[in-house]
Formats: sequence, C-alpha cells, structure tokens
Amino acid sequence: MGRMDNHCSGHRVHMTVVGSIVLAAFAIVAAPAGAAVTPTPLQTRADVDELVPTALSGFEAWWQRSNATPSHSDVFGVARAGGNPFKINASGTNGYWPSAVQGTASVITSRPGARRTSTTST
Amino acid sequence: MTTHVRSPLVVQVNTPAWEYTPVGSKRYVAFMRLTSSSRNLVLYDKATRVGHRIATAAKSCDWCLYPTWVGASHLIYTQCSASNSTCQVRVLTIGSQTVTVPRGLAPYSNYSGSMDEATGNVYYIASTTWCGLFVSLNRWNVSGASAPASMYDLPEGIDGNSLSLAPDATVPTDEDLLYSQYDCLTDNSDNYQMESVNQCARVAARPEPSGAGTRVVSKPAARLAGASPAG
Repeated sequence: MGRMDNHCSGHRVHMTVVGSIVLAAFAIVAAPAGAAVTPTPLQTRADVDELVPTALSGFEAWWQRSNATPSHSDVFGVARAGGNPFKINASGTNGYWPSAVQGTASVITSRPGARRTSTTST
Repeated sequence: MTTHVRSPLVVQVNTPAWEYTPVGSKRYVAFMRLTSSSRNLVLYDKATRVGHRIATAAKSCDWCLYPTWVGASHLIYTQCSASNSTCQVRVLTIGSQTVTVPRGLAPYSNYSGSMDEATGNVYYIASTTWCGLFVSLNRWNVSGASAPASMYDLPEGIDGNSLSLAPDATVPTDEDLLYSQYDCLTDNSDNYQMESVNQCARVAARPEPSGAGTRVVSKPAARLAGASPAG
C-alpha cells in the first residue's frame, strides 16, 4: 500500500496521538533525518506525457508526446537554470529515450523513424 | 547541448539494423539492436572500436531488455521476464562480473538503474507488477554490503517510469535524481527531481506487503509504450 513518508525529508514528521476521554492532543515532533530533499516538479503538463528525464550539470533533456498527437514523440532540452525549451530531434523526425552522456556535455537519443541511433553533441 | 549540433554515431553502432534505447559515457555506448532473430544488448567501446554483446532477449519482447546507464567502468541494464512481467536491475563491471540488485520474488520488480561510480551506489525504481503499489526510489551499494534502502516512497496509484542521476547544478559534487512517474488513473506521465539525493540518510529496507492488490494496468505497457520498435 502507499505510504506518505519521505525518507529524504529534512524533518521527518511523526504524528503522535495522545488521547483521553476528555481531551485529545496532537503532538507533531520533528526529527532531523539527513539533508532536506523533496521531489520538485520539472515537467508536469496534464495534456502531455513527459518521460525519461536526464540531465547534465547545465541542461536537462526529456522525451515527450502530446495527447493531441500520440503517434509523434520529441526530445526536448532546457537549461536547468531556466529558459525556453528547445527541440533536440530534427524537424520532421521523432525523438526517443534521451540519455546524458556521462562525462560530456552531450545527450544521446534514438530516432526510430530513421532506424538509427543518433546523438546530439556540444 | 550548448551548440545544438547533432552528430550521428559511428557505423559500428548505426548499422542497417534497428538500434534503440542508447546510453553513453566518454568511452562507451550501450544500446539495443534488433536482428532477424533476437534483441541484443551491445556495449560499444569507443577506444577499441569494438562492440560486445552483453545479453539477449527474445525478438518478440520489445521491453524485456534495455540499458539504462553506462559510465567509466560499469553498465547497468534492466532485464525482464515476458512471462510474469517482473524486471531486475543488473550491474556489469565492464570486463568482469555482473551482479543483480536484490528484490523480493514476483510480483516485486525493479528497473531503471543509474549509478554513482564514485561511491558504488546504484539508484533504481523498486515496484511491483501492480500499477502504483509499493513503488519507491531505492539505493543499493554494488558492494552488496547492505540491504537496499528506500529514498522516497511514491504515493499509492503513482508508479515509476524511469530514473537517472545528474550532477547537482549548484553543488557539482552532489547528485540529483531525476525521475518520471506514471499516474495509473489519469494515464499521464510527469518528470520530477530530488536534489542532492546522495545526502539522503540511509534508512532500513521497508517491510514487504502481505497481500496482493488489484491489478490496474499492465505496467510494462504503461511504462514502455512507444519506447522501442516492434519486432
């Protein structure tokens, strides 16, 4: 079953119920549990599937397909500091499965429409 | 990424066959190749210009095998069973042995591994074949010295698609964890990030459930639809 605990939260919240017939008291006890890490949204449009996020230090890339055109897929990139997303696959092609190339500034993608694997480099 | 220049890979990678789901590092490119008889996971070494077949899956199963990460000396891939839809993360030390990230028996499953080679920590999605049940982002050290630990438990009804590590934008020595999640009810996938996941405190492995829930949707289909070409 689903749980709501986040093991990476800076402060894990424990709710303890102290009850009696007359009074019920709720005590929230915060205990340090490592550094503060909580998931933050990157791409969350309801009308678009955003998948396979990957990143270098300066850029993020991901694969997306719109509900309006489910047979078409693109790979997009954006500066992690912010800015306008740009399409990585060439116009008129589909792009899939981006992956940051470790130790470089490139992202590798596949382009099944052309039956080839291709890369985007710096 | 800064110049937006696209470069094709070498002919040893891009053959007339269908190659897909590539991952890369400075030295290696790992990818799937569909042949007339099977699907092969190939590790291509840019230094020696030689590709080696690492694993093979049936041609009929387009989601049973795919690489998810390659670094300087390790390759991580996901290998799944076509019969019960469970998957396992495997970690190959290049030129040496392969180890399997521990998990429970079916319906437990894990997939989409990524590695911090400096520490040996492997991050991956732990799940079941039931959409959105018992899903977490886990960490396990390739030394095998300790049990897998959950970094974050996804809410019920939310499943994991994929996961990757990236250098933190402000603290380069830290690792951020990027992942996509799948909403089993709304049939929508979104991307999220956990910053500096390497700083997360290690916690005990969570207890395993005592019973099975109701199967909502075929997870491999939800996760991998359109991801690889049909045989």
